[in-house]
Amino acid sequence: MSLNNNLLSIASRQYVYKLKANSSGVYSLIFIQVLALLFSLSGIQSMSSVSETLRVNVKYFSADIIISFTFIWIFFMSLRLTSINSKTMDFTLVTNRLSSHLSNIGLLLTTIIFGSISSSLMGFVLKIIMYFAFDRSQIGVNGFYPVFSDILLGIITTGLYMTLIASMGYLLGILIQIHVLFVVLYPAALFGLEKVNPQMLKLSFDFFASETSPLLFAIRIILSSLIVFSLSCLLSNRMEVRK
Amino acid sequence: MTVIQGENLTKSYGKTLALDNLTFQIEENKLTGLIGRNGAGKTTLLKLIAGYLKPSRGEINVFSHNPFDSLQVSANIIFIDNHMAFPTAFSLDDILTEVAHYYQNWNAKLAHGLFDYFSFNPKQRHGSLSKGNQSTFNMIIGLAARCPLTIFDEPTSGMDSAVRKDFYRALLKDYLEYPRTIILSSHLLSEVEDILEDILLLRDGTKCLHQSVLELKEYALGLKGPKQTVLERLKGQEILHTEEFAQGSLYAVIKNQGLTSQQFLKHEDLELLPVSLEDLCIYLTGNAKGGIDHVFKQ
Repeated sequence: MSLNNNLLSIASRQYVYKLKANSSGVYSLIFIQVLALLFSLSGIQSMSSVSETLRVNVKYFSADIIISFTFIWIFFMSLRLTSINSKTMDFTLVTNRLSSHLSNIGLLLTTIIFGSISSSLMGFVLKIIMYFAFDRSQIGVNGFYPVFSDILLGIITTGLYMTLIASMGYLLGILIQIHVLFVVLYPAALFGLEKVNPQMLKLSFDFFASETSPLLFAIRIILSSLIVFSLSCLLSNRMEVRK
Repeated sequence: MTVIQGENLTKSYGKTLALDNLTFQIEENKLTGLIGRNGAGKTTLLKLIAGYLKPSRGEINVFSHNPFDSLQVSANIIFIDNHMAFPTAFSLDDILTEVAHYYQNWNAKLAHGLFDYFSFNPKQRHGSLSKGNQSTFNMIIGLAARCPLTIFDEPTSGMDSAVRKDFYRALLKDYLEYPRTIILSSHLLSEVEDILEDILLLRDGTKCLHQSVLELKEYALGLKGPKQTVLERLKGQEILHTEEFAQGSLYAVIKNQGLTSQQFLKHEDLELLPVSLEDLCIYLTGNAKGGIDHVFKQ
């Protein structure tokens, strides 16, 4: 009987295994982001005013769609990791519930790093396309030319939001495992909350979105994600598998 | 050393009772067959041992740990059935390479030897294998992992008879070379009785008996002769099964309680027949209503 099987060594073995198994997820990320890029090409907002002598047409281009699509992608990635099939894969080999969660979270963090960097870089692709598609004089320069610290901040912020979304998706996945009705209850609870107490949702939105200090923002997101991930671990702790 | 110990183990799914107060223990380095009819609770018991399920009542210990959610137990167990799942991104070759990292006794030479022998295509995906081939591939993993506790739940489902024979032979050879605790659940007792050491027979979620195969082969006697003679002769004996034939002839199976065949040979019209293990298990786990014949008699 072997005794040198501690949690971290198993979890890291599982992490490598899952990384190899899910490497094709990169293609879906590329596909999603190229799709979002195509949508972004028509601009996200346009405004025009016409007077007798002058006609002004302003179009906003931004990588918002790319980032939102990446958010949706990470949500479904995390949901997929909690599926029965992926659990069966874990329990085919050496695992316990915690090591399975740890390796899943590790995998999610890796995809988040990929996703946040690539979505920020996709923003540049958009800018380059704009650069060549329009006459230089037609481009509003503000924020067009990148500053390194801004890029870094953008990547980190995107990554942090993705972490929060991934933790929410993961929790939803676990809840669905407990009872399939949670597919409906989860969004219904959010909408219900908004109806009953609109202030509450706004407050929680502000809690994450309106923080100006990067450090505080990071701490808030990391703590909240940790809480949500631990909740997922706790909820699935007594769950039976491969019934 | 006792590897698995179950105390008053009970498992129910809603109102259905799958296991009912089962107490048993399995010793180290034994090849035990878990035998029982459909729905007798074989798979449930194996999943409790593997820690997939929680017992409703009672206690189970594997390597002196509660197997549920135990990394320690999981690292020393491999559970082979036809629901094993592998990532779709992996080819069969990849699976053999990746799985090896999990098991420290992994025997790559054996794995690849069997892989080539059964002529698998290394580039094929696990999901696209036929049912029989999936079972064969899973069996390769089960043998090569060389886990201290190896569980095969209906490992031969879908295999053709040639592959089944090869599997039993491979299992026996590898077991002799590298002794470990193996549990094999099967419907086909006649095929596996030659390799098993012990048999744990389940009936409706309870333990019917747990004995060595050698003891079990001596467990019962079959007698055939004219109905009257047989019934007279068998007074006071524990009759496990009776079956009527044409011309008033009766076949009865009795529990062998220190009887010698000499005692019966005095009656020249009585015929003494051996009872195969498979038949015996059917008689022991059968319902008392006289078998399938009873349905047609009405």
